[in-house]
Amino acid sequence: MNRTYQVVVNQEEQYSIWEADRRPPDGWRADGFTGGREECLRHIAEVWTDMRPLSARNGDEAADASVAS
Amino acid sequence: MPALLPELFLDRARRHPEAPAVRSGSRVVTYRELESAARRVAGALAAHGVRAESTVGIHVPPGPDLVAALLGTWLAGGCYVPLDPMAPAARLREVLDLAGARIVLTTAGGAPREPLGHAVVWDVSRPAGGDRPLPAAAPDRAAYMIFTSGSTGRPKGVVVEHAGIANRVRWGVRALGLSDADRVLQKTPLAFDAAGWEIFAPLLCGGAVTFGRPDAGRDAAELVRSIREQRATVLQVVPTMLRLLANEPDLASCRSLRLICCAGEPLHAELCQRVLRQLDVQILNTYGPTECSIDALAGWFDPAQASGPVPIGRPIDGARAVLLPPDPGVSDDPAPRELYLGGVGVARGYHGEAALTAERFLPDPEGPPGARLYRTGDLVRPRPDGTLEFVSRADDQVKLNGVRIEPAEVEAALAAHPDVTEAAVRVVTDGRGTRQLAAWVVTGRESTVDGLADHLRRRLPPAMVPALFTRLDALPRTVSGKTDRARLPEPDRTGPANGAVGEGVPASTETRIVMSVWRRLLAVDDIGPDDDFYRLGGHSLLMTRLAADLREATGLALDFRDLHRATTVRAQARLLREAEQAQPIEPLPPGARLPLSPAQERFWVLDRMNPASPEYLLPILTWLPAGVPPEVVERALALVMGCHDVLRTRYVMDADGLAAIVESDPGVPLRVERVSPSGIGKVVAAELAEGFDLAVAPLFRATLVHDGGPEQLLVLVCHHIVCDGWSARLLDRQIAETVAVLAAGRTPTLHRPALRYPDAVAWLRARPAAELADDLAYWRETLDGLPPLELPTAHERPARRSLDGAAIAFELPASVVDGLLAAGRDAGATPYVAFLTLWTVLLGRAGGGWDFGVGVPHAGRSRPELHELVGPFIETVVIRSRLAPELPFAEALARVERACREGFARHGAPFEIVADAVAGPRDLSRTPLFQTQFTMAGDGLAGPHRRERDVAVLSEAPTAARTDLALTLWPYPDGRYGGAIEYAATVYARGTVEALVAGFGALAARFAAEPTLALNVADAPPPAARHEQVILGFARDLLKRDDIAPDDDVFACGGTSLLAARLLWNVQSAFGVEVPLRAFFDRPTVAGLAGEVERLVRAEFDGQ
Repeated sequence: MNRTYQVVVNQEEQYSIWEADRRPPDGWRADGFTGGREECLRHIAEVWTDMRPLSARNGDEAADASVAS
Repeated sequence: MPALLPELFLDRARRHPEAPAVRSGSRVVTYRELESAARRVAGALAAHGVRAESTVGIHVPPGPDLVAALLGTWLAGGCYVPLDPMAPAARLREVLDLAGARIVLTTAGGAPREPLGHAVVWDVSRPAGGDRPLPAAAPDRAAYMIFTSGSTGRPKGVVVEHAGIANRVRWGVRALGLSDADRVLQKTPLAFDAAGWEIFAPLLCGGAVTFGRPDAGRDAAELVRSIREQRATVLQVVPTMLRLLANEPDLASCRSLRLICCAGEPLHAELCQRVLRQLDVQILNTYGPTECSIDALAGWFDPAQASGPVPIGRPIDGARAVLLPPDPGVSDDPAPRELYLGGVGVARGYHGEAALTAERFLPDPEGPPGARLYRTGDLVRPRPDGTLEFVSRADDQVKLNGVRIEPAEVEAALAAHPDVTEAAVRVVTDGRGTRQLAAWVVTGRESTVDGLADHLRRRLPPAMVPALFTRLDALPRTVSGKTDRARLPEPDRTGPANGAVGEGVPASTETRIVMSVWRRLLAVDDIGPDDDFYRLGGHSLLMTRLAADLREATGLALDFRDLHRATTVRAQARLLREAEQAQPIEPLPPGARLPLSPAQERFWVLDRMNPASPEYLLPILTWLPAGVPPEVVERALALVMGCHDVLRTRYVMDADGLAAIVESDPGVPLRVERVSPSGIGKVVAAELAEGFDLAVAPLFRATLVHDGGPEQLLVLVCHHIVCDGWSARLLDRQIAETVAVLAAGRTPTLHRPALRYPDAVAWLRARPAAELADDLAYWRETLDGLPPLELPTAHERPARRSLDGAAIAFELPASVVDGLLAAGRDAGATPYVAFLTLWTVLLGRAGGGWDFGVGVPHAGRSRPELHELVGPFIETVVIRSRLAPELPFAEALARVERACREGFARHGAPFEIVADAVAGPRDLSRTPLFQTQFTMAGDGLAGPHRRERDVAVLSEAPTAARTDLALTLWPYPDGRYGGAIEYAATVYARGTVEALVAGFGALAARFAAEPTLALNVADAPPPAARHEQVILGFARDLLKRDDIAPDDDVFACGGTSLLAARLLWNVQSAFGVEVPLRAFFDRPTVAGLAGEVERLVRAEFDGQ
């Protein structure tokens, strides 16, 4: 059970973990951190501070189109 | 075409602005009105700084305002966060804090009862200023955040995005074939994510959100009513609620339903079959965690499936299921796979919990680039047809009544108590199959355990508070040192030391009321003041019913949220007392004219028609030690008369009508008689043969009878105008106690009630006209076209009903009673309901038809303050159960239960007024509305417990026929029941009544053995095996040995000739056949006797 994992991140900057010896699936890249499961999760807790997907982060009210008529 | 819910709603509102968008009670809100309300909310939220992704707490009761609040939040770009109105304020503050919500939407009537920290509370109905441009929803914007139990010890907020919820709702519209003609009942509380589609699916297809009654999500009877009232076509329920629903007697009346969606718990085919027998519906089983936008899998129930778990089906539109091997060690069975879910419904994650999110939301190697899979933790098994079947959890998470609970969160909340060192929590099942949450704790101090439930109630939602707490010295451990939940011992079900209500102080009226209501609701006999509702098997779905039953018993409305927090008898009694003080019964001012109750007026009129008639007399028999001198008894009576004005009252008519006049000292009417040992019955009979002049006080007389024995009998004969069965019990006790204190040379301290009978009458008469009208409307509808009861053997009636009566007494052996009551318990029926059902069925089978009314007494003491008053409060309620010959007995029990529940709730309409409102042309040949009565003495409703010797003493008294056939039953301490059928001698012959008496016991044994038997097919003689079982019970009772087998020689087992004769007597009263003693001596075994009974019963049956 002492597998090694890697921290991976997708294009929406959402983090997850993946076995270290396997290539991350399409749309995911290695963030560079590897270690035990708990170590990886601790790392994620530190680096993933804005959990909104990237596309939901840009633009608050200013950038929004209006639906009010 | 727009694809997200806010836009889809606006599109519908543009297309048909005047169509109904919300139905709630009788209120209808159009799409135009709803849109404008939602925009108003959005404007107010925007003005409070709500922007895209801002969280907004929702504390709005179900109704149009709720829909406007949710839509308004979305139009402002926000993410709604449901706040569970049942959860304690500390929990709500924690949730708001975790969600980062700075504003909470509410309504004037639905505001939180305690402050919610720093959040602004905004009433959605308040007008808001200025239209602002609002942001458009985007597929990956947060739509809502639902908090579920978290294994880290605090709740976790699942963030669902617009694309996910829109996909789920649109799939629902398509898969369920919803149109604007459908009515999806909104009854799921918003704190469950599944409430979302009940609200938004109708708005997508141009229909109206249809709200049920406020308690429809918590109470099966209210749910049935809601379905009927709103003509709902689609219903979503958790299986626990479906099970309660299947027990509702009038489920079949929900004919508008076409579809039931089940979710939240494993569903079993047996339950579906029970529902399909009553309703013509399709059943859709849906499955999905909150983390996947409500549902990810669904499958139609196949009506050909008779038993076993119902599959959870296949992925819905836009969803994908991936099965992977579970972690090693999770399951020994190789077949189950852990279920991972992918697709558009996968949630964003847990708000502010990056590590937790990354652990459960994993890269999806087969989905679109960058997609994620949610690891459900559910083990499933693929079936040959490709559908999936739920097997179990891979971790400790449990579901209780559809609520998801992480034991670790409850354990963490327990560990937050300063005295708790360690805690473990898991689900246990009690002897009756009720699942309960149980906690095991290691504490520093023993007394801590008692306070733990309170500790948790202040922190967790009610569903997460364990019902049972067990103290351990240490928790069992696995080799790796973790808590080994599987090795936890049986939980401690004994609870805190009970019993001491207070030193020598009798339980308060309120305490007794709460105990008796619990006893009925939970079918538990032994209840003490410190018992806890949940520990005794109560659950959240019973709380609404508890509130209704307490209201029925006390006339006081309690908020069930308060009941949730006050879960012991003592605490609920305190709530009742607080409610009394909040709405006191005011005494009449001194010197006021004293009114009569409707029942008293009727007694007065009846007496006028037949002056000094003995028809309405009530005997009270009090046994006193023979050595007590008459002066002491006289003094005791004077003291008791002093306490109860009604015992010194006379009734007169003057220009203003009838009035009660209280005398200060009319003198004690005590006479002393000495008789021979057999003479007591005659004295009692003579006392009961003569009525009273109602214009002269007192309206009772007393005779002290000595027969030379160690006790003397005080016979009080009261006119019903001043007394009822309840009063009789009060007086019997008070007189005996006062005599004992006086005889011991001490000074009695009698408690004088704060109210007098006329105060109560004035209060009852001041009942709002609308309430009475409402009750009368119920009775008019319920009793419309009620046929009279007449058995085929009835004689031609005299034109005017005669009072000539007779009675036949009988006895039911404990074994017959036990069987019947056990069958009743299985169907959720109290002993009262079980016996009333049996009586109703017996009369139906005797040819009385299946539709008639039974008159039953109701104490009529609708407030606790009236419990200590002497006076006639008793009401007669008519129970019309509408049975049918093809119904199974179990179903008949449910119908009678329902008729009683509804009828008793309407007892506030006096019988006299109901009879006037309902009865057709006056028919003097029979009693109005009912021709049979049913009374269970000693049940707190009707009168005192009957003692065996009282029955003997009263046997010589003449019987006045109150109606054509009246059954009275009373329990004896050893489990037997005594009974008597009183009948109108001018209408029925003794033989008819004897047949009823014989049939009563036989029928009880028959249905106890096979409760699924139809009411009419039980005509066939029961199988011999069944006889054998009943007779075996008799033999074991009589010989006091549990080890007797059917083939044992009864005489070898300690039997005597006398015991054999008693055994045959029992057999005769149960089966209505007489086995000769000689036949028994030939084959003195239970099996032999059963064979003989079988032969005789069959012969009788064939001979008919």
